[in-house]
Order: sequence, then C-alpha cells, then structure tokens
Amino acid sequence: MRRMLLRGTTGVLISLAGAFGVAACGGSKSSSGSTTGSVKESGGPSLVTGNGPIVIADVQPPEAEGGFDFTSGMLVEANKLNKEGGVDGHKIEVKVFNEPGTPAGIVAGYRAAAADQSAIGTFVGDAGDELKPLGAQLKLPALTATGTYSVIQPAAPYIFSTTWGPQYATSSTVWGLKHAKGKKIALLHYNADFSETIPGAIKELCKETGKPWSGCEIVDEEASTAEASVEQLTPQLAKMKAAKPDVYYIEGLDPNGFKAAKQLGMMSEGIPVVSDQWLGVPAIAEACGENCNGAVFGGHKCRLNGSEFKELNQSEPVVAFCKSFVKEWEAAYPGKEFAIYSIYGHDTVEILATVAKELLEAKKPVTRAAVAESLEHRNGTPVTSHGAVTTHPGDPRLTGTWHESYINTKLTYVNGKIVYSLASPSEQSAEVSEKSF
Amino acid sequence: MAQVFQYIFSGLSSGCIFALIALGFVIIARVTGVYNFAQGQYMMVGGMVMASTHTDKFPIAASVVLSVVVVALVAVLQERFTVSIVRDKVGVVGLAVISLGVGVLLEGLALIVWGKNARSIPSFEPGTFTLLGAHLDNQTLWIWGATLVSLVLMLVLFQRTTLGKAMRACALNPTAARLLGIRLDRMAILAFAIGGGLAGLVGAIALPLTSVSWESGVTVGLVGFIAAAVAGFDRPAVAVAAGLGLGVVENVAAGEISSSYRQLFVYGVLLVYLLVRDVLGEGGFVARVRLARASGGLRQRRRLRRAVSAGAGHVALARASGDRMRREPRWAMLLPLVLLTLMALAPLVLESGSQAMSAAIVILLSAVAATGLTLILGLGRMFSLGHAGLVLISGYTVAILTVNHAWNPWVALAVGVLLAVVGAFIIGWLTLRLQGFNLAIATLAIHLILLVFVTQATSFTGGERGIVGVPALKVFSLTTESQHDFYWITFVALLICLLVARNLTKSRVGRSLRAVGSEQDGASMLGVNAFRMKLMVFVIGGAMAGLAGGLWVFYLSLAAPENWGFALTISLVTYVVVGGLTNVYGGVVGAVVVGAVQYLVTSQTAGLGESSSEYEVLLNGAFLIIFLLIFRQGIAVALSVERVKGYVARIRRGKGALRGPTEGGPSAGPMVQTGTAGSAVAGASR
Amino acid sequence: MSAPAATTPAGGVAASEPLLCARGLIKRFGGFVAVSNVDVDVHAGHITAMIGPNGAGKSTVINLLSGALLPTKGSVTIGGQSIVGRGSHEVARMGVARTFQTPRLFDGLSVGESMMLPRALFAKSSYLECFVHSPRTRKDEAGGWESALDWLSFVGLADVAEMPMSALPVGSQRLVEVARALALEPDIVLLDEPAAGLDHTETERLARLIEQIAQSGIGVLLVEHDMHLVMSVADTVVVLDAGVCIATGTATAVSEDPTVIEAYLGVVNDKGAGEVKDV
Repeated sequence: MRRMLLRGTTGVLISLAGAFGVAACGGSKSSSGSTTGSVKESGGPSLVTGNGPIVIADVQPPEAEGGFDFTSGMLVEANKLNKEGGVDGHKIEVKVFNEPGTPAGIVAGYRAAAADQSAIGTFVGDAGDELKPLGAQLKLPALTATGTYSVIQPAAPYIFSTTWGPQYATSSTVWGLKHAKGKKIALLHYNADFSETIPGAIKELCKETGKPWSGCEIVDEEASTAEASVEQLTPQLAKMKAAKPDVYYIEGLDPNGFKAAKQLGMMSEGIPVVSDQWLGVPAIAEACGENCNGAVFGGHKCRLNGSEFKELNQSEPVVAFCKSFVKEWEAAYPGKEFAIYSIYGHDTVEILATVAKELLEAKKPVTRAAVAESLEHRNGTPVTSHGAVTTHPGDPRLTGTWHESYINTKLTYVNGKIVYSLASPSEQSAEVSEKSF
Repeated sequence: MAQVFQYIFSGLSSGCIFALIALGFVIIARVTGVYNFAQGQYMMVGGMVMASTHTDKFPIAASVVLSVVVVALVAVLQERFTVSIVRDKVGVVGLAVISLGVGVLLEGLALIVWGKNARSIPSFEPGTFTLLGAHLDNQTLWIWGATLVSLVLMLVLFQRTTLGKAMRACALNPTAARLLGIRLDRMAILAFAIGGGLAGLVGAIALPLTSVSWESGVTVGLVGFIAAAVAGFDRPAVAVAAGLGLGVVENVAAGEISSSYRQLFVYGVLLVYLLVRDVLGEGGFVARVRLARASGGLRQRRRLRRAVSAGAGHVALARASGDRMRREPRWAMLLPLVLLTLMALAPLVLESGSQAMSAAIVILLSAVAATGLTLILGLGRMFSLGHAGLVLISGYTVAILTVNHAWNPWVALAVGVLLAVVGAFIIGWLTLRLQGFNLAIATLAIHLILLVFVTQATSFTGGERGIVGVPALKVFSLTTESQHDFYWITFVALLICLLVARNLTKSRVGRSLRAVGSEQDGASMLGVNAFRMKLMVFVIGGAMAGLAGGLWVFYLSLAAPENWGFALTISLVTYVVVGGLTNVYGGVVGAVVVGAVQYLVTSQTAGLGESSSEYEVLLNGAFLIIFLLIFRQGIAVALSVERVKGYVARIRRGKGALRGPTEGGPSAGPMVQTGTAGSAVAGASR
Repeated sequence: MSAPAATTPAGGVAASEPLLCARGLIKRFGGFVAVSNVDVDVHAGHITAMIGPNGAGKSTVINLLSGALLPTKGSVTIGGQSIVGRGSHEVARMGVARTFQTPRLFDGLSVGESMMLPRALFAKSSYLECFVHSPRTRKDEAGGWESALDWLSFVGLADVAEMPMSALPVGSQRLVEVARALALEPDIVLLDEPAAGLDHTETERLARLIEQIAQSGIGVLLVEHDMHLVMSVADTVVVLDAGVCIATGTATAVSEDPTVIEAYLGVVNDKGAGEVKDV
C-alpha cells in the first residue's frame, strides 16, 4: 500500500513537472497595464468574415432581477435585424453566458465571453467594479447595465454603460423637493448594487448651488437587506418618520418597505414619497400593490405604454421608438407583460450592430479594438431607447440626455391594477442634475 | 419612548416566524433524530401555495388550510423517500445533508411552478391597530395567534397525550419503543407532517407581511435552525422563546443601536449566550484558566522504565509485523489517485478563460478548503459551520494588504494564512468545548458576524462589492494572472495539504483523535489530551482554509462577501459528506464530483433560455440526494480499494448484492451513527 | 517472562509513604450521596482491594481518584500534589492508570494501535514533525509499535495486535485493558472489576498478573466482587457500603468482621463460588 502511494504521488509529481515545463515554454501573455480611458491599438484580423455571423455575447445572471429580461431585449432586436437581412448580409448571433450575479460570477462570465474568439462585444448585466481591471486585460468591449456608477466613473478601457446612474435617484428626488414643504429627506436603501449610489448621489445633488433644491439634506438614512420582511423594516421606517422629513425616499427594490411605511401611516401624510426605477419592474410593482400607491420615480418613457402614452410628445424619437419596440416585444413574448429592462439588451445589440455596419462599410476589419474605439467616439448615432448616443473618451455612457428618455412617473393602484402615469401631467421633461464629465 | 414598543412588537411578529420554523425543526428532530434543513423551504412552499390560491373567489381559510396540507404532504414524501429508507445506514450529518438536497430540490420546483418573481398578498383584514404607541398591521394578530395556538397544541400533544409521549420515546430509545409496540415509521410520518404543517401555516399567515420567492427559504431556515439549536433540538417551548427572542433582539438593536449592524447584534448575543453558558458550567472557562495556571510542576516526575520485557520471541514478531503496522484501514487510494491525475491534466484540456476552466479553478480552491474541513469534521469530529469564515479572514487580509497598503503579494499571503490560523486558534479555544450543535451554531454565528462586518464596514472592506484590483502573485515564471498558471500553483498547494493531512492522520495525533472519537473517556485515561488534539486539528484545518482564501483572492483579483458566504459553508460540508468523512481525500473527491456534476448541469441547461436556472437548481438538488442515497458513507469510502475488491469478489461468487464488507473490517466511521434526537453530533460528554 | 526484583514485601501494611492518598472524599449527585468520607491509600508494591455490594460507591471512588469526577469535598494527592480539578488526561500523565468495567473497545483502532495511545507520552518528535512525517516521527512510531507488542506479550496476547478489540473474547479484552494501563508506565494502577465475566482459569491468570504488577513496584487498587480473587492477592481490603467505609484491614481480618458479614447475605469462605451477593 505504501509503495503504491509512493508511486502514485511520484507519478503525479512527474506529470506535474512535465506540465510545468510545457506551460513555462508556452509562456503566458503579460498584461498591458493601460489605465487611461482610451484605446489606441486596432490590430488583428476581422472577427466578421465571409458570410459568418456577427457574434454578440451576453453575460447575465438568469435568476436575478433583470436577468433574462436583458436577453429578451437582445433577441428581439437581433431577430428584427436578421429579418431585414442582417447587417451587410451578416446575421446577428447572441451567445448567452449564464453566471450567478456575484462579483466572482461576473468575472468568470466576462472571461468566458472574452475567451470565445468570435464575439465582437458583450453585454454584462449587474456588473460592478470587479469588471474594470479586466477590460484592459482581456480587451473585449463590455456594455454594462448596472446601477453601480463607479463602474464608469472614472472610466476604464473597454468598459461602457447603457444606463444612467445617480439620475435614477435624483430625478425623483428633485420632483419630491419641488412638491414638498421643506428640504429634509429621509432615505431607506438596501445593500444591492444600486443602493450604495443613492445616498451619495443625493448628497451631491444637495451640494449644488443656485438650484431650487440647493441646501437639501438627508436627515435620516437607513440601510437594510433586500429580503427584509415588513417587521424587520418597521424599526427603520419608524425612525425615518420620527425624523420628520419633508420627502420620503424609499428604494423600490423591496416592496415590504412600502408596506411597512403604509402600516405606519407614512403613505398618507401628504408627504411626497419618491423611489427609483425598480418600481418599473412589473413583478415588483405587483408585489407592492396598493402599498405603492402614489409613489413617484424617474421612469423610462417606454414604461408609459398605456393610455397616458398619448400625453407624451409623440414627435420625440424615443417616444416613437417605444411605440414600436414595445409592440415587437409583446409579439415575441405573447401574454407576458412588457419587461422594462429589455431596453438595455436592445440598446446593446443596436449599438454594436451600428458600429459593425460602419466598419464593414468602410472596409475596415471588425476587431474588438476597433469596436471599442468607435464606441468611444459616438456622435449621436444610433438613437436607442436612451436617446441619441453621444460619447467621448472618458465618458463611456452610451446614452443621449436624461430628458430624451426619462420622465418622472407616478405609480397608482386602481381597481386592483398597476397604472403608470406622468407624475405631473404638465411636466414633459424631468429637471435633473446632469453630471457632466 | 413609544418607539421601543414599535420595535418590540414588530420584532415579536418576525420572531413568531422564526419560532414556528424552529418548532417544526425541534419536533422532527425530537421524534426522528433528523435535522431537517428543508424547513425554510417548507415555509416558502406554504407561502407560494397561499399566494397562488389567493383570489377573490377562493376563501382565505381554504387557502390557509390548503397551504398547510400541501406542505405536510411534501414533508411526508420527504420522510418516505429520503429518510426512512436510509435511516439506519446514514449518519446524522448525512441525513442533514440529504435534507439540504431536498430543500434545493424544492427551490427548483418552486422556480418551475411559480417562476422567479417574488409574490405577496394583502392582509386578511386591511388596516392597522395601535398597541402601546406602536402601529401594527392587523395581520400581526393572526401571526401572534397562530404561534400561540401552535405552541399550546404542541405542548399538550407532547406532555399530556399518549401519542405525544410515544413520539418522544421514539428518539430517546428506538429499540425500547419498538418493543413497546410503538410503530416508529408511523411516528416519523406524523412528526414530519406536523413539522411541515407548522411551516406551511406560518408561510401562509405571514405572507402579507413578508413576500415569498423561490429562494426566500434560506435566511428564515437559518435563523430557525439557530433558535432550534439553542433549545438543543429538544424543547419546544425554549425553541419558540429563542425564535421570539431573536426577532425582538434584531428589531430593537436595529431601532436603538444600528440598523446596518443589526444582524451582528443578533449573532453576537447568541454567541455570548453560548459562551457564558459554557463559562458558568462545570469545567468551564474560568475553571480552565485557573487550572492552566496551576498545572505547573506536572512534568517534574520522571518515570523509570519498568523492566517488563523483551523475550526473544516477540522481537521477531515485531520485525515481521513492522511493515504491517502501516496498514491503512481506511485511506483508500484508488479513486482519489484517479481524480488527482485527472485534475492535474485539466489545464491541458480546458481552455484558459472558458467557463469550464473557471469552474475547475473554483473546484480546486474548494478542494483545498474542503481538505481542511475533512480533518476538522471527519477526524476531529467537530461540527464546525464556520469554515468559510476562516477562508474569508484570509481572503480579506490579502486583499486589504495588497490593495490598500501595497504589500508584497507573498508576504500578504503568508499573513493571510497566519491570521486564519490565529483566528482558528481563538475560535477553537473559545468554542471547542461546546457540545455538538452548540459548537455548530457558535462557529456559524462567528462566520455570520464576519459577513455582516465585511458587508457593512464599507470604508474598510469595500462593502457589498468588495475590494478590487488585487495584483498578481508570481512563482518563478508563473503568474496568477494566467488561469493555467494559477491552476497549477493551487494544485501544488492542494497536494501539500493532502500530504499534511495524510501525515497527520497516520501520526499519533490522528490515532489519538480516532480514539477520542470512539471512546473519549478511555482515551483520556491513556493520557490523551482531547482538547489539545482537537484544537490542533482545528488550527491545521484553518490553515488550509486560509491558504484557499488567499489563493482565491489572487485568482479573482477581488475579495467580496458573496465569495465566501453561508453558501460556501454548505458547499464545503456537502463536499466532505458526499466525498466521505472517514477518508482524508473525502474533501477532494466530494469537491470534484459534486462540482463537476453541478458544472455539467449548468452547461447543459444553459441552452434552455429562460428556464435554464429552474432546471439547474432542480437537478442540483436531485443529484445531491441521489449521491447520498447511493453512496451512504461517501463516495471515497464506497469506492475504496477494499470495497471494490469486495464487490468484485461477490459478483464473481454470484452473490451480487452490494453490501459493504463486514466482520472485523473498518466499521462505520466517526460521524456515522444512528442518530438520536438531541444527542450531540460529537457524542460523548466529558 | 522475567520480572524485576521485588521492592516491597507482599502482604501486610507497607511502611513507605503512600503514592496516592485520598482523604475525606465526598461525592454528591444532586441530593444523593454516593461517597461519604472515604479515605484511600495506595502504596508502592502493595495491593489494596475495595469491595462492597453493588451501588456501594466503588466505581465512583475510582472515578474520583482518576480525575473523571470532581469530588464534592475531600482531597486526592499524588506525591503531595493535588489532582482535584485536573482532567483525567493530566492525572494519567501524573502516573495513574485505570481500567474500566466495560473494556474500552476503541472502534476503528486495532488492538496494537490502541496500545500505542499511551506510548504517545514518550514520543520524542514534536507535533510539527508529525505533519511532515520526519525520521524522528517514524522512529517514534516504530518504537511505539514495538513497545505495544512488548506489553501485549506481557499479558500473553502478542498475536492479536492486528485485530480489532471487538473480535476478542471478554477475557482477552480485559487483559488488553490491563496491558494498556501498564503501557502508560504508571506508578499506580486502578483496576475496576477486572474479573467480571471471567472463568476460573482466566481469573487465575489475572491474579498472577496483578501480583506481577505489584511486585514491580506499582501500587494497585483493585475494585472487585470476586472474593476468591480478593482473598488471594490483596494485602489490604477496604469495605464500602452505601458510600461509607465500614472496615479496613487484611483480607482475613475483614472476612471475619461481623459488620462486613452483616452487610452481605453471602458468606465468604467458599472457594468455589466466591461471589458476594447483593443486599
């Protein structure tokens, strides 16, 4: 037995030494340490050849909030383009990489997408700071949809965003302060990615000078976990109430927050209750039900796909887009309520397809570096769900302006149904602090 | 001041949920000896049934009854299919892990049937009431009422009725119970049905104040487990009180002290309670400290060797059997060798960066940590649920030192391992005298406290998103930035750990621990210092966990709480149990087999689009159950050389049946015992 | 087997200082007093027997002397050092070995391996060396195995070293228990009813063994029911009844003591069936 052990271990060690030798000879690539926001190299063969497809990867956590919704948007857009003959004759192919929505999962998913030689770019849902150093290392353009603003601020090479950041919170906060008797805010947020942005964003907002909301302050800040029950949230809501604020900010992720607030009578005090885009997710709004009645949040215009849609300015490009996209989506997924997060997936495919088209028509090779460079210098095209995409090195937000795509939205619960409408019918555009780079 | 009552009463409601879960835990454990980790998922199923049947037409009472009945049925099915058939052959820990598998299975089914979104329903009677200045939803009355009624019914059942007494007899002395004509299987079914029914009831009634989703059973189950453990899995009233207490403490702490650290107070109070109980007991902390000072002078006596000895005859015998002494009763080599060779070759087949490679690396890192846990759980018989906490300590140390203070990666790694060792020493010294499940909750509480701390102390630890930007570690020409390089570096680390584990097991330390495992008092009388031996193996296991944690951080270039959360502890325990507790390779075998199956399931279901995660969860649960039902003492033991020879011999002789070897062969390993309710896993008292 | 020269005369009261001295031992379990004011002395080379009906507290006394139980009151000293409050492993290291009424089987270890347990005290390698299986560890292991076999041969059981304890007949198990106690190289051995369940021949063998142990200078305390064994080996006999010591003296003296006879229904002279019956 002992001899066998010796042989076994020795055998393993020998094969190991051999493997080391192979690895050492093969050598590992050293990473380039580029930390600035711009991409310079553009070498390498084109990833789109002959009649082959244009491959766009999709790293997403299927069970998370959002999850498959991102993919559904990508597929709707990809199918639409393919039906029209593809991009310059090349079909769009979406390759899905499922990963748990943890930082480790995001890292593994992005690595896998990068290791897949054919993808020209990838969508990454729920990304965090862990993605930033990887962009320079693996050089695959990543279009993220994430609430973690620090992912793009400061910018990192190859990392882009299809979403806004602090504006989701500050838009409704500004509305709230406008309709409040004072400038004191009480805030409840959770420990999911977006949440860490909220207090900081509101504090920055309050620091601005010369605005109607200047000098606002957070008089009570409460944090909890997203699975907390009503009883577990009650102490925190109670403290918020006791601070006697003029505006309540209750993050929308956990509907129990609203229920606890209702229990304490906070929803009917005549104090504005504001929230964020989580309330735009059908399931969350459903679960919140009557308790969310009257909450206002910075919502995407595509959310207003009911009768109130007519109140929007129909000549706006995003409004027109919403009309057709929502119809396409519902045709592709009959019987399902429109998933608002699908717009990020849609945008990713549309943007990457546009970039690919430009490169193909200019007879340039479609390489990842070329794609990344193009993404850094967008000048208003394409027009996506987030407006006319404009970027420059250092500002990797693949969006237009806030006003193009978002409007303060009110959630009401009428006859057992959720209804979205304009928070203030007269306001066609939300006033919001737009952080410029 | 009215605020306090708001905190207390809301806390009471949330405590009722924990209390009823704990009550179910206790009843099942008391009667059948099974620690049922699917209890949280039972509540989830109850909530889901309630949510889906709650329509305008369907009366509320009927929905509640339906929820209770459905969950009771599910529980009975679990008992029939996964408990009764393996009761006598799988140990306590094995049964617990099987129940874990059932819990995961239920999650998968819930995903398929009800989807991934959370659900809720309005209160039975909308509106609120006021009590001593606190505003409470009307639903609170239902919750309080249900808890009270359940507790009273259970107490009456167990204390006053013959049926209840019969149920209590089952676990205390199964043989005697049988002789008295008590039908053990009927009692078991009844116990599971009651446990399930209670969970279903609370799931239905609490739904308006919580919300339910496929994964909402985990946290609730955890707290319920803690409350039940405080009651020793034996006293229903204490379990209910503990559950209520945990709910109230959490809310009062959140209200009065700090809401972000509220869980820390809960676990902290729990830990203090356990330790104080130990301190005040006989042989407790104070007495130990006093004796430690007094024991100087122990070594002064030198004994003369008595000349009782050596006739020529047995010297020859000694030489002849010297080799045979190396006989290894259970360190079987076949399967582990095969697996290790396959693992060594993995980088040659798997592409760097691919999901397969990433999965392989995580398996490898888990294997390193699991080897440490195999020593602790298998050899030391210490049911530690805080192993992932030691991994976390090392991981964060390395991340903080390299990112925030730009230390050299090697030095940081060494310090990380050192801190894990120190942590293990402190934790061990404080908790290792706690019996059985008290040790489990104490170590669990410590891990959870660490998690709360790293999640909340954002400036120090990066909070939820963690610390990013950890630089690479370089070994000769290898660097951790390359996945293949990293794999081999970690593989060597694994081999070193396995070697140390083997040496330890074969040495006098291992022998002493095996002796302590079977006859603690007998071993003590032969001079074995059980506490010191256990502490030593706990620290070694901790060192391995620390090594895994440090390397993990270099692989990911980041440290985040979700890397090393409660899920990792469950995974590690699963790996060790599935791999085989009695075999030093158990951790590796379990990690590779379970990890590989999970990866296969994930990759095969990925193509199913929206349904992919449903099937993934379902299959993971199913496989776990199947593994343990087939390989009852773990795969490494079941497929050891001796067993394989035995099977082959039997097949040749035509007997066919896969019975394990009997007569004088290695008997069931340390952790495998027919469980009795309330009996500590680590067995013997001092 | 050759035995070393006797150091003390067998029989009668030894003149030397006691190796182990217990004074005023009291043990209460809740309201029940198991042992009340018992004094015990164990002298080198001297065999002291403790007898009494079932429930008299004999095993409790052994547990108190070996550190398995904490006395409610009273002192136990070894060479002047108190052992009260020390763990049983510490007491073992101070030179006190004991056997158990039911032999400890050590599931999972072979006989030889269980014999090596006490030898760990004599190991020269450090724990750190155990982790790397250094040459010194290997030497310790080989030495430990050899001495395990030594002690097994002393009781005539060298050939069972590879077997598990559970495979042995009861008589052999008890002998192994004794051998294990001796392997600790103790100064004092406490034997807890070693003859229970043994037949006539085995008891004889045991008696000779006990004498050999005493002759090598070890102090023996023997708790027993078998009056024949007690009569044949004991130098001093202590009689317990209901936790109280009712008589002390030589075997013959005690057997004629009317208080002792009264405590038992059976009488002690019959050589064939020397079992003391219960009250």
